[in-house]
Amino acid sequence: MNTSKNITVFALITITVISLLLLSMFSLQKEIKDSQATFSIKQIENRAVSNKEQYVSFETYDGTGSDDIYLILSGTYGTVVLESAFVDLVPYFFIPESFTKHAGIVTYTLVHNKKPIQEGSFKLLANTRNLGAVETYLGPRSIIANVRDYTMLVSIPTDMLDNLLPDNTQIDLKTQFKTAITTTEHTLNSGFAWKRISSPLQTGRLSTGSTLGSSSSKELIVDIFPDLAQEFSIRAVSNHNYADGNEIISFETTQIKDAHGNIMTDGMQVTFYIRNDTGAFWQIHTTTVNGYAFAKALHPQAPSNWQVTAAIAGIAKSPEISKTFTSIIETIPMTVRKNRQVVVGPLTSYLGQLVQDGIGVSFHIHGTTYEALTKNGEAQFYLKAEDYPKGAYTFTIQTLGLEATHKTTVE
Amino acid sequence: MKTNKTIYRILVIVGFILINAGILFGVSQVIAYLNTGADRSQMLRLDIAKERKYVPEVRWESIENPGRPMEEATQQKIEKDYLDAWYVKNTGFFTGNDAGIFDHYTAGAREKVRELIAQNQKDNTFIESTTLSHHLTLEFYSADGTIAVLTDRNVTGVERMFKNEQFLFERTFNEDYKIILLLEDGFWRIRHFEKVAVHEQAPAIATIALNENLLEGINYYPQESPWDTFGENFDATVLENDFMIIKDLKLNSIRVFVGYQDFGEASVSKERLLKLEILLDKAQKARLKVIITLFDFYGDYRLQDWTLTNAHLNTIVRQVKNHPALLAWDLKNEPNLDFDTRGEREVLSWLEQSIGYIKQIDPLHPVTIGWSSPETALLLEDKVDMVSYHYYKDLEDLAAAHTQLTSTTSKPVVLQEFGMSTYHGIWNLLGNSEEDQANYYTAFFKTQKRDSIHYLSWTLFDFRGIPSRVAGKLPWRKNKQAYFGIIDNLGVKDDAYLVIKNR
Repeated sequence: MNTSKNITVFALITITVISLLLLSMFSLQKEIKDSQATFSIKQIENRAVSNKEQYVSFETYDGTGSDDIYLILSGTYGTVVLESAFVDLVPYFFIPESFTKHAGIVTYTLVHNKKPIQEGSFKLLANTRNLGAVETYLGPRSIIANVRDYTMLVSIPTDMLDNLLPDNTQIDLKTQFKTAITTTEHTLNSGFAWKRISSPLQTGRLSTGSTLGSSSSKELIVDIFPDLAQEFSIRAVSNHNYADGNEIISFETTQIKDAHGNIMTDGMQVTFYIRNDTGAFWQIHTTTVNGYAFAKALHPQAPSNWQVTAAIAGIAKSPEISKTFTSIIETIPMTVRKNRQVVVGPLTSYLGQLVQDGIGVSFHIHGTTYEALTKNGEAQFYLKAEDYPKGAYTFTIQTLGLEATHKTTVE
Repeated sequence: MKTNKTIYRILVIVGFILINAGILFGVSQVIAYLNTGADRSQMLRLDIAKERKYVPEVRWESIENPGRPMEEATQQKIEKDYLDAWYVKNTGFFTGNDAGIFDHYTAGAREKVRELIAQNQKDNTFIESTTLSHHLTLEFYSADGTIAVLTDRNVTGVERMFKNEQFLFERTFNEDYKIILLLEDGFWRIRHFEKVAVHEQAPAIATIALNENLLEGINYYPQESPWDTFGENFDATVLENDFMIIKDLKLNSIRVFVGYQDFGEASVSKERLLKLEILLDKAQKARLKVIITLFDFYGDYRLQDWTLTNAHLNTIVRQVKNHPALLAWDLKNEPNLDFDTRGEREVLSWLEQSIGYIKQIDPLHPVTIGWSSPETALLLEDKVDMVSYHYYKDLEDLAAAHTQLTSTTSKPVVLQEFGMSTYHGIWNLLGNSEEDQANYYTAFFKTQKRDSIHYLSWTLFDFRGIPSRVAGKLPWRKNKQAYFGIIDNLGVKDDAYLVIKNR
C-alpha cells in the first residue's frame, strides 16, 4: 500500500521534471539561408519576465559591412525594433524592460539590409517565485438563501509584473459562513481558477478569499438574503370590541419567514386589506420589522363587521380574519330646550363615560340635513325662526349607528 | 481728341463696374464666411452612425463554457469591444499616441500598452499593423456576467516596421492569444492578454489551372451603362441580348467589372450581388464564361483598409464561387497605375494578401491581376494562377511581348485587353477609321492564331457617356475611350465585328 503510493509520487515528480525540461527547451530557432549573412545572434533562451533590460549577444558580427542590422521582437503587447549597441567593444542587442516585463511567446527576426537573416522564438515566462497580489472577483454580490442560487468566485493570481501564472498552479479558494470555513484547492486553467459557491440556506454574510502560497487576495463579501416569504397569519389586538370611534385596533402578522426559517428582511412591504359589512374597502400599507408587520386602525363609530386579510403582493398572504364591533349605546338620548334648541346627548360610552369629542351626529328635518360633532358628549342643533316657523315638526337623528325619530312643536 | 474722350469714358465706366464688382464680391465673401460653421441640427451629434473602419473576419468557434450561458447581445458587445481593443492598439503603435487605449484596457493592461508605445516612440519605431482574422473560443463567462475569458486562435495579420522614418520590414503572422476581459464602465476591457502560440504560415495553395483551352472573349459593359454594369440601368433582357451578340461572335468568355464602392465596400449590397448573379445566370444560359474583375475604382491599399477589402471580397466570392459560369477572378484592373501615387510596395503587398485571401475562400477558380502592360505583367507571377496584361501599343510588337512572357512563365498568359478606338473628330482629326479598326483586328488574329494567344478584346460597344473617373475630364481622352467598340452608338456593327466573327 505504502510502496504503491511512493511509486505514484515518484512518477508524478518525474513527469513534472520532464515537462519542465521540455518547456525550457521549447525555444525555437530557424536559420534563413543567406550566404552573405555576416551577422547572427546566439539563440535566445526561454526566460522569466523581468523588469530589467535583457541582452542578446551575437554569434557572429561582421563590423566591416554595413551596420544596418536590427532585431525585431514581437511579443504579447506589441513589437519593438532594436538596434545593436556596443559595450566594451562587444555588440549586443538590449531588450528594453518595457518589453521583457510581459509574459508570452516572443518571435524574433534578425534583419540585415531589410532582409531577414535569422528567425526564432522564445518564451517569456511568468515569474512564479515572485508573486504579486491575487485578484479575486466575486459575483453576484447578493444571493438568496435557497437551493438554486449561487455566487461565483474567480481568482486571477499574477506575478509581481502582472503576468498570468502558468496552468496547473495550485490555488486555494476559501469561503467562510458563520462558523464554517471551507477551503478548496483548484488548479489554474488559462490563468484563472473559479468556484461556484452554493447559497447556504441561512441569511447572513459570506466571506471569500483566495491564497496562493504567501500571497493573498482581498476579502470579498456576498450578502445572503431570505428567499420568498411563506404564508403567514394575522390577528387583531384591541382593548374592546365597541364601535366607539376612539379605540385603536392593531392588526399583527405572525413572524414572516421563508421556507428555511429565515426572517424576512426589514422593510418588506405588507398590505392589509380591510372590508366592512357596508362594502367599504380600504388598505393599509406597512413594512416589516424583524419579520413582523403591524397595521393600526381606529374603531368605527357604528357597529360593524370587518373582514381583514394581509398580503405581500404576489408572494404570500394570510387567511382572512373577522372582527365585529358592537354598539356602545342602545338609544339616543335627546332633549329639546327652549323650544327651538335640540340637544343630542349626553352620549355615553360602554362604561357610561361621555364619548370623546368629535362623534358625528346628523339631524334631518324637512328634507334638510345638518351635521354636527359632539363636544362633551353633546351635539346641538338650533331651529332658526326664519327657516322653521311655528308648527309641528318631525326630525330624525342619526349617530353611532343608531337612528331615532322624534316629533316636536315649535311655538 | 474725340477718341481720347471716348477712351476715358470707357475706362471710367469699366473702372466703376470693376470696383463695384470687387466690393460686391468682398462683401459676399465676408457674409459667406460669417455663415460657415456647424449646422445647428447636428449640435447634439445624435445622428452620427459609427463607421466601421476595421472589420476582420471573426469566427466564434465555441461559446460553451462552464460558467454561464452567453447571451447573444453580450457576445456581440464582447466581440466589438475586443476588436476595438486591437484596433486602438494597432493605431497606437502606428501613430505613437494612446487614443482609445483607456477605454479598452484596464488600468493594469493600459500601462503595459502605453509603456511599449512610448518605448517605440523613443526609439523612433512605428509599427503599422492589422489583424485579418480571429477565431474566438469562450473559455469562461462568470455568473455575474462581468468576466469573460477568451482564446483567440489563428489571429492572422500583417505588420510593417518603420525605423527612423524608413520602411524596414514586413511580416505576416498567425498567433494564438489568451485574453481575460472585465466589464468596466460598460466596456469589455482587456485585463490580461498573452500570446500563447505562434504558428507557421499556411503554405501557399497550389496553382489552379485555367479551365478553358483557349480564351476568346471580350470585355463587357452594357451600351447604356458603361463602367456601371450593375447600376440603375441594369436590365436582364439587355444582358441576354448582348450575350447573344457575343455568342454570335463565337466568343467563349466575357470580362465584367465589380466596382468596390458601387458594391458597397465592406458591407456589400444584397441588391448588387443579386444583379451579379443574374449576369452570371444569363452568361451561363448563353454558355459564356465570366471573368470577374474586382475592386474597380479602388485605390487605397493601406494596411488599415485591408479588413474592409477582405470583408468585401469575402461576401462577393462566397456568394458566386459555386456558379458554373464563373471562370476566374481578376483581382484588380491595372493596379500598376497606382504605383506612383500609392507606392509600389503597398500596392503589391495588398495584392499578395488579397490573392491569398481569395484562394482561402475559393480554392477552385484561378486568380489573376490585370496589369496594364506586358512589362509589369510578371509582378507577383508566383502568386497568380494566370498572367494577364493589357496591350494598346503597336500590334507589330505584340508577338514579341507575348512570347517574352510565355517563355518566362509556365502559367497561362492572357491578353486581357486590347483594341483600337475609332474616334476621329474635333479632338483628333487624324484618328482611326472603322476600316483601320477592322485591319487592326485582322492583323491581330494573324498573330493570335499563330501564337494561340488567350485574348479578351476591348470592347463590344461604343459608349455615349464616359464617366469622368474613367478617363478624366479631358474631352480628347473621354472621346477616345468612347469609340473602342465594334458596335457603334446606333447599334450598327462595324467592319471589325465581321472580322472577329469570321476569324
